[in-house]
Amino acid sequence: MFFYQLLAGLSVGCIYALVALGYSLIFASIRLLHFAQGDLLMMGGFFALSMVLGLKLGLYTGIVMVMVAVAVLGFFIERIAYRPIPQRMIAARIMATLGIGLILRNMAVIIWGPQPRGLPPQVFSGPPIKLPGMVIPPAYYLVLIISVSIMILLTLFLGKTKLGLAMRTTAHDQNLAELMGIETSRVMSLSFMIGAALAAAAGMLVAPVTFISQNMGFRLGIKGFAAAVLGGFGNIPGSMIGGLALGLLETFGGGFISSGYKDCIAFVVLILVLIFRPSGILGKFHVEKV
Amino acid sequence: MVKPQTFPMMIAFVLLFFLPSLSGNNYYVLHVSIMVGIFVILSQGLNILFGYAGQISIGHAAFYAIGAYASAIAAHHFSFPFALALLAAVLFTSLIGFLLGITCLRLRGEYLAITTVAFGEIVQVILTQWEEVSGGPEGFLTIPKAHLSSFIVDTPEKYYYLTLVITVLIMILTRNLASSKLGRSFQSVKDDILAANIMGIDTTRVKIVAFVLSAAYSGLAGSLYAHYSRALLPDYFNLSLSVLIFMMVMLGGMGTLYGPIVGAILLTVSFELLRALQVYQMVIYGIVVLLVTIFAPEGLVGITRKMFRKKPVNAVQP
Amino acid sequence: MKATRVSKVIVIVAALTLGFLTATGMAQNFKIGMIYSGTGSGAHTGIYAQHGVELAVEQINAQGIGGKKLDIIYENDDTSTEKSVTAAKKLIYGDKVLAILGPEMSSCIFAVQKVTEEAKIPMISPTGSSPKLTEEKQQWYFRNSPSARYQTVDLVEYIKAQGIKKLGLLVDWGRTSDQAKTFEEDAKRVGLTITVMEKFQTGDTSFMSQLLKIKGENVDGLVFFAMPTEGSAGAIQARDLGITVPLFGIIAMSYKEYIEMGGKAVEGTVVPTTFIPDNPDPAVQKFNEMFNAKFKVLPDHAAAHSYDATLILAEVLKKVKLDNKPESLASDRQKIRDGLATIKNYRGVSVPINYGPNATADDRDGMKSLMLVQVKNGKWAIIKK
Repeated sequence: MFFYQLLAGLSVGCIYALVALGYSLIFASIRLLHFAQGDLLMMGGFFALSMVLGLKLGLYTGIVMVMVAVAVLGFFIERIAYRPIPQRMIAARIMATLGIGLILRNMAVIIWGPQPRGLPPQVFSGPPIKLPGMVIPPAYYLVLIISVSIMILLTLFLGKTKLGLAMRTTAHDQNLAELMGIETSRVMSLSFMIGAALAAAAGMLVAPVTFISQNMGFRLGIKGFAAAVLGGFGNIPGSMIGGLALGLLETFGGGFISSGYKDCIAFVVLILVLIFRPSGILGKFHVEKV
Repeated sequence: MVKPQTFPMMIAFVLLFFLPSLSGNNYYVLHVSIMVGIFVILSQGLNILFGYAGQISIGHAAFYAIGAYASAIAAHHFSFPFALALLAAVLFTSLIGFLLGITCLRLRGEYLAITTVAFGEIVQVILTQWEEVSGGPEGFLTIPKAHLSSFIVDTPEKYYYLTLVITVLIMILTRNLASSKLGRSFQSVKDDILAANIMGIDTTRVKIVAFVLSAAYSGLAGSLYAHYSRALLPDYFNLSLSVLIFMMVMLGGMGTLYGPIVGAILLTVSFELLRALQVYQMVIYGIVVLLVTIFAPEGLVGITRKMFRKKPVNAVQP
Repeated sequence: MKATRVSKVIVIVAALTLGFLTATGMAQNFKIGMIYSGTGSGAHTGIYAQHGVELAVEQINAQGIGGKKLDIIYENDDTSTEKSVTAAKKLIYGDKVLAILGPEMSSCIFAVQKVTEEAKIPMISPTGSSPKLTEEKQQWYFRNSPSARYQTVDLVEYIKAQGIKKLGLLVDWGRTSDQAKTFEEDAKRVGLTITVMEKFQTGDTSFMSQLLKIKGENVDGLVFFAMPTEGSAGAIQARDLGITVPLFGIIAMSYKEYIEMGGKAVEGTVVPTTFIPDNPDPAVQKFNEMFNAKFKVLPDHAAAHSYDATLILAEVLKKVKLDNKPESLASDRQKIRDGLATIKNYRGVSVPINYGPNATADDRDGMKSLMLVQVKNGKWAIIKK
């Protein structure tokens, strides 16, 4: 039984991790708290629906197409809605993300209808793994494999490629990056697009356990955010750890406190971390002005 | 205040006073007006915390809810008369504001924003689950009408005047606050907290006072809402509502005296006007929000100020 | 000269007045308001309810009611209680409608009831399960959907008849607490034991901890109080954990999505309901056809209830003589309310509907007997009418 809980916790933890990575990447590169990240996840879910039902794509091609599609959407969103507002106007940028969220959610209803839809379960099919004493359904291990693959690819990209280096440099110090000849404008767009793609992937991977609906983004978005804060906001490995930690915390912790209040776990964790260790598990200490 | 501004204000006040008769006592118009009044108080509260003192909060629906439920409980379970219930609501909400303020002392910017969101969610979950106190998901529906000694506020017109009077008082209070020493220390905390400390301002105290005042305003608004609608459902006090209040302050003009009024009217009335669009209503609403944010990031009041400035504005900041 | 001029004026004025009278007489359609959740978290139910009304209105206006038509004014409440109230006030005081259909979410209905009771205008909601909606002496409210009180009675009897003794409950407390409560009462009444009740929140994706607790109690049956999303996820996870006992649920789960998402895990689930598209009844099949042709989707119970509600309203308008003038608004609304109270054994596309004159739950809960359906071979099938 413990093993099942572990798997479930890791599974949902991976989803949180992907969302957290999106937040961190976007925050690190353009210093934007992307409130509409959950809604990008939702768009990913709906695109997945169209890809699978309309274009008859399978899991692997589907997820790639979904990530690309939402990345393109992200490109336009960032250029049109976020870039025009100066970075120092924090509140105005938050407002812009709220406006985008509103538009995305209501467009989703207009395009795909109000009814929550399910992705056909065949998408996540494969041989169940038989171990002594239990059977692991394919949905669990496929989610784990795919999300871990994405995270590995992302880490390699950021660490080993020139573009990845450019992204990290721009995130660290934009002026320095420009002096070095990096086209920061393009790099920032790319960062946002990757962040959007990560959210989209999460949107498709969460399909086995939930319906795709216009409101699915809020809960998952907030939890992904809590995970990012837990692991260290803006920190890539931190977000992964934070995601998994939160997933496990929720799954195992739900057994201890009244399950009606289980959702509060993520929020309370969030507040506690922000008060006592705002840098999170792995983050550098953020120098706060008094 | 500059003299040219008082004349339109007086006209506005006269119009507002005669609104019930001008509209033929249309309960729909009165309802929208009362809600605008309540939202003005709510937005002004957020404005104090955020516009003046620079502390971002996207969880103000929680204070609104706490004020509403506190007033309802005081009036129904403890048989407090309206004025006392209102006072109890304001005090209790201020206490919660104080606690939140202490919790958030070291947080700024985006981190503070998210903490307030989490706070809002926690309050909503508690109100939904703690049935013995709040009535749970089915709501608190037994709230007595507001009465001041033997005068019962039982018609929308009476409630309209009650709300109007309180709103005007709040505006006057806020204007005095903004130009007071406390108000100026809010401004300095918002602009440059390091410099404020050097100048000897106790920034901790200022921040906490801002939270308390902001909560008090919201508690007042909550009490008004409770005795007007006489139906409180925890469903209502959600993140969307907090976002709405935040939008009213932002779009109207944060840190300005009249910003909350502009914001409250803009967002309430535009929703009503867009009704004809049915399904596209919310999409257009979102687009409007986005456009105003991009083209007037400091809010509409700020833009009109710039438009009426006679001297050319030099060295516009990037 | 003057006489001719005066008589010309008189003729013109008389003609205009006559024209005006007949024009207004002809244009005096019946104005009805509908509040629906077109956006927000309740959009799923709200839009279907609106579609049901729209379809009914099309049908009704094809024939007309004594030469007049139904003018429906639709207002979106964005699933917000406050906006529901504003919409209600606009319809009642601004548009001066004769009656109101909707809203759909229980919280919105509670809020709007305060307005309709004071304004003395009849209100028919196509959804809303909280028993309190009809138990507080509401004089002007008609519930055209089953109260939680009736939803669980048949189910409980059925469970008992299967020889099941101990039950585990998994409840979405924020959305379905009323049904869970009445279920508990009914279960106790017939001698079933509820060994364990676990709660969760709408939007949760993992029920492992709750299910493990339930498994530990060795129950004979598991009842979900959830939306199709969480219900099917819960069923899958329950089966994964090796919980093999029969599954039961609530009306909100009687959608094909529950089966689509749940797959094999949900086979055999039994829930009470008022409407499934697979009902072979010819009236239902015709309704499906028309609904599908117009909206490209199959109807659900929200649509069925609102469709029936609108047709019932039309029947009442046919029977009752309304003056339908601005001065007679109050008495017209009263006549409609009294007319609705006489509806007996109305058979539409859902279950039989009965209303009565008193402000009691008995008289204002239109649907009291539900059918039971079960997932058989990947489809919902009726096992008890």
